[in-house]
Amino acid sequence: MPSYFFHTRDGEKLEIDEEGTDLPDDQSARNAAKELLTALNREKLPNGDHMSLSVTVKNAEGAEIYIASLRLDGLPPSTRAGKS
Amino acid sequence: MNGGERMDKQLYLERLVLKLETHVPLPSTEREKLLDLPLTLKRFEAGQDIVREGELTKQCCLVAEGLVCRYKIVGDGARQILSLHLPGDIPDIHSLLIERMDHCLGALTPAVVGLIAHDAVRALTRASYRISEAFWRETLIEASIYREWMVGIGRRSAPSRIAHLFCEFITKMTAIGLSDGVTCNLPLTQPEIADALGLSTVHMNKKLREIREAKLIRLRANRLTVLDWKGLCKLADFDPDYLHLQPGVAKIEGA
Repeated sequence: MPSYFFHTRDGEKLEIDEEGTDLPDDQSARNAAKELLTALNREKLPNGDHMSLSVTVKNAEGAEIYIASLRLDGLPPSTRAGKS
Repeated sequence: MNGGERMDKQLYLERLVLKLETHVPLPSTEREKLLDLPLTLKRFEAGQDIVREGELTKQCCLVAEGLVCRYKIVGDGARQILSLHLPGDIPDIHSLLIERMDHCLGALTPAVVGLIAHDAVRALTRASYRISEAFWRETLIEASIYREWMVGIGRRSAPSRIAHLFCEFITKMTAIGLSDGVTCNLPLTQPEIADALGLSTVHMNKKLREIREAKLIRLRANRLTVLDWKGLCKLADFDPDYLHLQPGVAKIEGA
């Protein structure tokens, strides 16, 4: 099975995946990236109202095959009304 | 039966006694009765099923060598590993009373299993209430381990779940004399660890990397070494009470 590398960015914090994970194909790697985002999101949720996470998937040749990102902005209604 | 195989069987039954005695000591008369159980040895490849869901069984499986798991496959094909079993365990002892398997038993590594006919186990448990209680206790402690895994999958963070698996594994290995309390074989692939913890492999790998970088453990070529036992237990939220081990049988120090 080919190796894929999942580099993540949590706000400003970048984490490089040097070991990689073996997965059957690119489609599995894309699904794994989305799964990883939602899992990381769940882990992070209690810590505040803003979050931006992204995952860049590279294949063994170093080529980017997928980028996915997730953003959370939790605001009380008054703040939202003030901005609109 | 050649002499080597007879010696192997003796060794495997001693593992069963050792495992039972991690929980409570047995009188020597009962120990002897257990060592006389008739075993049929069977070898399994890694990944091979030992007993399948839905099967009706007439025998129990004593894990003699290797690592065995209980698992279930859900509708979309994903696997949940339900428990891990080491040499000396009889993971399907319950089949004595509920004969139809409601999950699969599979070998995670090449394994040797000692098949013991239900009739033989039944005769023994009917003749000895101490042995009957010992097996009953095993199933109760297994239920306790299931509760702990349920808490983990339901409520613990991914790093905590991974750390917990390491804590539990090395504690059990130490109790049966297969670890010195610092290092042990952990012959699990990353997808297998992920399937035991209800995590995706990519997520598990990422969090495992963090545990390594925090210098709590070293994991290389299926060998687990604890570098910081206190730190690992803290991350894992691990308290070994649920394993109900005799005092002193599993002293873990870490390197």
